[in-house]
Amino acid sequence: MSLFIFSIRHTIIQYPNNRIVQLIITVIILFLSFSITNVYLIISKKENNLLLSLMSRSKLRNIKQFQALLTNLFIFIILSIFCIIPTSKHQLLVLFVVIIILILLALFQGMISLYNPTITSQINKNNKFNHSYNFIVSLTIQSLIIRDILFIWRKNRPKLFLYIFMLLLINLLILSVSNRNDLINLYRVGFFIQSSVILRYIFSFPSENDLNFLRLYPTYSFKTLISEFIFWIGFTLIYFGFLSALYFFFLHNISPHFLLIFFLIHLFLICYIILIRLAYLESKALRIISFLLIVLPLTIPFVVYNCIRRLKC
Amino acid sequence: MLKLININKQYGSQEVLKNLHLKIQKGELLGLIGPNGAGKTTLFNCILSNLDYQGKILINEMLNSDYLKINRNRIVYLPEELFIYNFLTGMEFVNFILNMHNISFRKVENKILLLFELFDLIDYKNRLIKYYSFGMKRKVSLIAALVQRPEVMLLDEPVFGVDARSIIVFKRLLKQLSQKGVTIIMSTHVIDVIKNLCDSVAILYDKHIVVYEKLHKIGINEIERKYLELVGSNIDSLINEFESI
Repeated sequence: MSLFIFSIRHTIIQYPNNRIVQLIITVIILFLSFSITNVYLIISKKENNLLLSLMSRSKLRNIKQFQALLTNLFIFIILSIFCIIPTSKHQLLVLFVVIIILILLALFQGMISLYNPTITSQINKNNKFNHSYNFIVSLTIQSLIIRDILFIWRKNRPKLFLYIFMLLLINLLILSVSNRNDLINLYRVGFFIQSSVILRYIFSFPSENDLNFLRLYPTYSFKTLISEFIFWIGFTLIYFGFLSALYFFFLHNISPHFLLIFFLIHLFLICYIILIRLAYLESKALRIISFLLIVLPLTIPFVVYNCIRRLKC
Repeated sequence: MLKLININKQYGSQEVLKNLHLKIQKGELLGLIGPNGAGKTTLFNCILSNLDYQGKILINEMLNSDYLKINRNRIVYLPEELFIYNFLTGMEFVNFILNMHNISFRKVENKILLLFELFDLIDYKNRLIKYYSFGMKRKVSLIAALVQRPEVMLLDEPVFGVDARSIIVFKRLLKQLSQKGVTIIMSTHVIDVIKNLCDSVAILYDKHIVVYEKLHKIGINEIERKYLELVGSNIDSLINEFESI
């Protein structure tokens, strides 16, 4: 271990401009900022208990999200200033992407840190319950997002690992190309392949959870739609944000136009798939047909109409 | 409190409810009985505005659709078909349902733990629901329903598959809620369940309410007799015919 650390230290000192070195530094910075934030959140459990006697759990959750975001950002910026000073537009772009990722992670971090009911088991009771659910996203939407995260982790884990392995393999194959020109051409294709893998996962994501839920709570269809948007768009931004940063270190000139077009297409397709899922929750066949016929713009009004019909419930 | 005026509901050409009238007072605990397919679940779905129907349903003198827009959290519906997430623990599921009703877990935490204890589930509260038996899953649903403080409760076959101890607990808790002013409609196939529990009983038969009686006036045995008269008039002849084949 000490040899490994020594060799990294040696590499960093000897080759400060090497892209591998930059990559290592960025990973270390990210790792440090998340670790420190997590340590802080764990230490502040007692503080949670104290604060919970003064305010509602939902309010504290929102504060924690904000706190996690600020701590992450602060530590990241401080460490970045000392280690990587952005010298080009592309580096600024990477910094911007990483900041977006940090914001999204902070939201999830804050949510999950207070979700487990046992955390609140030793708390003094405060009967002055304060309804403040709409600071960032409502309690209902947060619960629906956490439900999806727990579903993936507890019930869909083998599939998740399979997808992660596939995506890793695609990236390793692309990055193993030694010719830089080939790499530039390949990474664009790679992005679209990975986009289709992720879209396939979203498309095949079981609809039973939402179907059963909406049978009991049909009036929550809009909140379900919003939670699905937030969850999948957040997931996509985190994944492709990291991927863009990774490729940037190997290529140095990732085209911002390409990224913009790619993200727009990908986000449009995600939104469309989510609309299809909600419009045809009961029928897998209709979902598949609607998606396959996306090339015919005629199907879009049908999907939107059915979605609106459900939202009116 | 809850008025159903001339309710008609059709599925295609099949009439399920026809000219149905029912008036339930605040705090009343009504047992709704009827044969399979009589339309009990459909009636609940009409009250919840989940289905289109003809007629008028008033909750607190407001149209049900208007009432639900602002007070969805004040109506608890426990469907016959279990709604439960197997990948959550019992405690997490109750928390999830509470969040849907904008109720703070912290505010009712002690109550939840007591309910888990009353329903003999305390040792399983942090176990994934996928390891629960059918009855245990039903009990978690009951806990999620009972922990809320609604104005109206619609319970569709709530104790199906639940053990005797839990039925006793459930009946006593339901009685308490009713005394606190919660209006409850409970559908069941088992007449014994409504014995010593409900204030009134309604029989849904032939698409409408054919009998509505206060139990202190008429008694459960009379209700049972009336019910058998309606649905079981040909039982003896059919059994005889079956034995003779």
